[in-house]
Amino acid sequence: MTNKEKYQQAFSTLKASRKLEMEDIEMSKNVIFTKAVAVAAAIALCFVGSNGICYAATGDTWVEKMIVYFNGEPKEMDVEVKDMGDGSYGYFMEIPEDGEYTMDVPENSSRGVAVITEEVPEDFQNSISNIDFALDLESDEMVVLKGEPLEIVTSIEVVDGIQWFCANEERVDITEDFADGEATGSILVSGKEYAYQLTGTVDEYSVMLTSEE
Amino acid sequence: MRQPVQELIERYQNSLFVAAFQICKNKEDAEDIVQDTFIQYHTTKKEYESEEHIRAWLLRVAINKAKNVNLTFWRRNKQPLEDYIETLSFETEGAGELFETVLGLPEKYRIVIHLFYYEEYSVQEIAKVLKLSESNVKVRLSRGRKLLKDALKEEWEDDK
Repeated sequence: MTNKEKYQQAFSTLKASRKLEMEDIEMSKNVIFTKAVAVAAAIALCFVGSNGICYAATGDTWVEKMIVYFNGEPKEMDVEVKDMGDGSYGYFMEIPEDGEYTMDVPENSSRGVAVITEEVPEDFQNSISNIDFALDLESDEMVVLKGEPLEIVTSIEVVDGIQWFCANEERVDITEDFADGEATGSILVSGKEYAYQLTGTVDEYSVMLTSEE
Repeated sequence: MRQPVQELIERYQNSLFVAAFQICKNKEDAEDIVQDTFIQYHTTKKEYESEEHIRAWLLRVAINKAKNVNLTFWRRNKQPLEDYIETLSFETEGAGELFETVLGLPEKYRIVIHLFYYEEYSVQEIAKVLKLSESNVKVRLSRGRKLLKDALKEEWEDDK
């Protein structure tokens, strides 16, 4: 047997067992969109988690202030993050050394701080506390430096007509408050109180979470 | 061009499931990812050049979604991979060993190996699906093969 045949034989044992019907696809449409927005929100939230100021996020394109490292030298920049529509996020930023060069990283992003460097120094992880990943421009390699979980994941879930704003495992009934497309209040997440400001719709919302710290 | 979702489900559901499983190593997550991928196809108004283009797009989306799942902590209680593997029946002992060895490879090598040997994609096609350079794909393929050869010895031939 060739390697290819051996490989295909080995993985032929894996079979999808869920029966997918068009009805399921139609019904799940809204739920999934909300989930996608929640992921986007989480990325923005966690980036600024350390200083207590959180940015708004939408499900399409948003701008984050990120610390971008050029060969180890930090520089705060506006980075446009775009939901590429294929499950990945693109990071768009100008790289000073190259003038107007715009980088598109349609790779899987995690959260927080983007790092661009020709080489990741050995002590990089120790010297910078809040880096999630690095991109080695020479090899196009995305180097994941940390695999810590997202700090806060938000979503809006609708159960029996009640709209719940969820942050991690906590939730708040926003049915009446959100009827006009805006809702504010507070929610306790992991023992810490956050003020939330929601705008938009259940399917496409923006959320801003702030804490006192 | 576009094709009816139901036809694509029949044709590619299993292929997407195996690709997603390769990354997230969890059956339930992989099933969710496949469903999400078809939903995304259904809700996206994108036009495709050919069926091959649709297949590559579906694979890319499933792979990205699987990577995203790995980055979130909002995950269901997972069945340990070892327990799941015990429920599978392999045609030969070698097949089981190969299966486990592949799943033990680093993710970046694993998915390239998978697209090459399972989906029978060329280096050029893999580069397009994963949006990597061809040289990068070649490097990953070469390193992945070496790891397989080191682990499986004579059970894995030297690829030319």
